Amino acid sequence: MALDYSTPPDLPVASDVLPTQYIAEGAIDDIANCQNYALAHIGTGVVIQQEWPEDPIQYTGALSGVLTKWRVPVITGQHVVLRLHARLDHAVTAGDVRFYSATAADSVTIASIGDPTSLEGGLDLDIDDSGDGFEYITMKVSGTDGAGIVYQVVGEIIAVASPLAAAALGDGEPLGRGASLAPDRALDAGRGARMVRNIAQGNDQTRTMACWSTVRTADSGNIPTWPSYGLRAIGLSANRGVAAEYTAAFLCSGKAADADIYVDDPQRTLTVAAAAAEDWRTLTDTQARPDGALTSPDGSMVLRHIDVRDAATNSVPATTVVGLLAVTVTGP
Amino acid sequence: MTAVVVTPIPVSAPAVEQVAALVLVTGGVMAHIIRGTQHLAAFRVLRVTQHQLDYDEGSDLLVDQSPQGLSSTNWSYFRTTSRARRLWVGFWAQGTYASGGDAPTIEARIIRVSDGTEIDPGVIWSRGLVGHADDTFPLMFLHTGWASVDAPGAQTGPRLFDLDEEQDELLAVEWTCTDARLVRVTLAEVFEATTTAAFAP
Repeated sequence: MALDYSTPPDLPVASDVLPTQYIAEGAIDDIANCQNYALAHIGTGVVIQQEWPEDPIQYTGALSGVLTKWRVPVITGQHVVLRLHARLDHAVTAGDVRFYSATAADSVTIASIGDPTSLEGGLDLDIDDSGDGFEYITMKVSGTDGAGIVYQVVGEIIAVASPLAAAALGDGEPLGRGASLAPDRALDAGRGARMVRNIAQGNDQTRTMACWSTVRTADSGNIPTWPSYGLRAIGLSANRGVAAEYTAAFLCSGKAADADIYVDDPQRTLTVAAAAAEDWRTLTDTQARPDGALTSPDGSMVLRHIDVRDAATNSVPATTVVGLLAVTVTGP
Repeated sequence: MTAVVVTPIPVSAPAVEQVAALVLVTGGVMAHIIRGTQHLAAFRVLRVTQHQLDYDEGSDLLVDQSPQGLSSTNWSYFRTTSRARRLWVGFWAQGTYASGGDAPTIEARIIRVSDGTEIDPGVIWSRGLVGHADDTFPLMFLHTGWASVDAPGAQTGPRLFDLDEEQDELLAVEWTCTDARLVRVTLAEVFEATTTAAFAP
């Protein structure tokens, strides 16, 4: 089994497997390599991809308070590195952006070089499971002698480089650890069960479909509120596997009255009580559309809009009813 | 050498009980294992989503409600794995609020972040998305089908292109757009494999 994947292994072919045949060395090696690769990579890659192109974040001062918050999955106990990049600028002399992980208690600082078209950073932030399968990332900005400006933030979960070095990846276990997989011999039930568990683990590894945060008011730290007249405030667009379960999580607080956050397509409602404290609240959906048709031609799901309604009247509220900071959509 | 075609449609995974009850793994169960493994390993969708959401400084608005031209340059980043052989790129765009507006237009290219060089230089990928008017404003965004992503105006649908040294590298889709409010860039990493006769009698 390979320790890394500088060259692609072959895929095994199911039609070549016949009853009563022993499994040859090449085939078992292909299966093991592919499973190890999948466990190492599924769910990794870019999870935060956000920009504010028309109105970038600007802050003048030594260091702002927490301006944004993202919720990123900790895929397994081995996927614990979030690599962060940013497009930055500074109005006069210097500026930087700083990222913090709440559970792993790590931080990185990306300094601006004054070129807003260049992606800077590539710094690794440690992440850890807070107990719900996610880590929470916050951002602060500094701008001395002029505003620090943030145009875009990119965060990518780094794949496990050597699966065999990891004892376990969730409920999966890389094949090839311990006893070797001998060629030309019958495959015993124990190893077969491990292969099946690995497939189940791969199917369950969390994949991020959308990860978005608005910006707090820098001076007061207030969470932005959803205006009562705000029509269909957010258009999120996310891929979705056929009949796969996805979860939309909202970091929000209640305001003047009970409110429903209404997600169109598929239609789901999340109720936020008046004056409720800021917290993550989730909507989970496992259903395809009633007619079996999917929204977009690539077979993905689109949250066309998310809006707020008065929970009592199911109408546009007369007052501000929800404060919303962040939204994350995840699925298997 | 036989080409392997892998479908992105999820396959049913075998149950552990099917295996545990047996002393040896039979060919039928093994075939399920292989199909499940193929699905996991061979098709990796990088769910890159570009949110065109504007933060309006100095107010409580989360988004700017007015139509946006999105004429500025945007970058959508993704990292390929060491096994990437081809990259699949597609755009999805929603039109501006105003009914009867022009269909969104996108132009894009792919560059390597490490040195800024372009992959398939000179190719302008897309323009003139196929759109349709929707007068249900403000309840629903206008939206369009997929962008053309090949020769200018020549094709519809996403584009698949070959990778070489871009494996395990951070790439950027650099794109501009007009007459759209929300644009999604979807990238899938495609792995094509060959195999040899794997099972001995």
